[in-house]
Amino acid sequence: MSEFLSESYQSLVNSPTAVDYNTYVNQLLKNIYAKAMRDITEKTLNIRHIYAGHASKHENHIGKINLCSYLASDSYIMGDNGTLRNTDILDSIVNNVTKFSYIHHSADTLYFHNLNRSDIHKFDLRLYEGDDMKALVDEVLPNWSAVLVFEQNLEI
Amino acid sequence: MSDSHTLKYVHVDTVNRKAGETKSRITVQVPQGLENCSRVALKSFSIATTFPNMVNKKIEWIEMIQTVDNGTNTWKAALFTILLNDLDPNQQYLDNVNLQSVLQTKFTNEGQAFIKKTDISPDDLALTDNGEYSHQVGTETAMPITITYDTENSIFKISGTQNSATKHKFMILYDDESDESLWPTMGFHQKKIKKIKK
Repeated sequence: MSEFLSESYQSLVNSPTAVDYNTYVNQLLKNIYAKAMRDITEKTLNIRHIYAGHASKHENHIGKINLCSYLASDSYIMGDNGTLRNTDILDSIVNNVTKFSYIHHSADTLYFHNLNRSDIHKFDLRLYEGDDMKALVDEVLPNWSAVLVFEQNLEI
Repeated sequence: MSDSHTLKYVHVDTVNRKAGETKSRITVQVPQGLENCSRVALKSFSIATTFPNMVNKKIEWIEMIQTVDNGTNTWKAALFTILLNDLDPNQQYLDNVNLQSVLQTKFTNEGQAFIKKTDISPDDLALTDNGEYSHQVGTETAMPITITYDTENSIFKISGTQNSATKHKFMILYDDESDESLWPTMGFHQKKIKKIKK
């Protein structure tokens, strides 16, 4: 098991001694979703609840879709701790429509990516969910369509 | 001699993908080739927002109780999992109200059928899966868990009602490797959910 959980485990074990008696806030548990459900110092029902921190997005959980391709190897994404890392996101499509409708994304301004090779005979396209770049469940993913623009340099 | 820039538009539709390829990962063949290309951009994209939200999902939490072992107070812990892979095929998508109902049924754990228990050893925190379905860390009365959903504010709330004298603690967890946890989409801040790698 991870060291991370080990620390949490110790926080849970030691938490009775860390209660602020003025606020009844447990200093060791305040930054994680953990509660003493029955404890000497926490007897009121009010502090036996764990509230979700924000509204549920379960009903329309995909905030945006990243369309990726090796063609777009010149893009970067901000990862953990604000650090940029190289990625291959061709474009990000925001899901700003209701559930059970259609996303129709159309770019007024094209975000061009420089190609690292000039002759294209095949390319890949991949879909990922949101900022975490999680894979979409393929078995139930609907069909999708896209239009890509290639800029060609022709000698005249 | 000078260069002229020409734009070529490529229409892609996964309906026409190559046999054996998946909709989330396709290869587009360009038989005649696109020569002397310098840049590429996405012009448009269309997809139906019919994504399911209950495929391969689960929720996990840890409970700890204090026991007396040879006159010394010690803590005993277990990891509990509710797998949601037994839903009706028509339940691949659930709204929040129905999700609350399904989860409450599972939390109630009638017939000890829904909550899977994994032991956690107190010394090295190793996980041992005995294939047991139970909602008891030790021999204590199983703590009833209630899940409620505030339709006005779209907020989920988990409540425990342990009325015995046993010290009892509860912590929700996120399995970092499987990425199947429902907690984050239910509104629980990802950074406040403890992650584990099994």
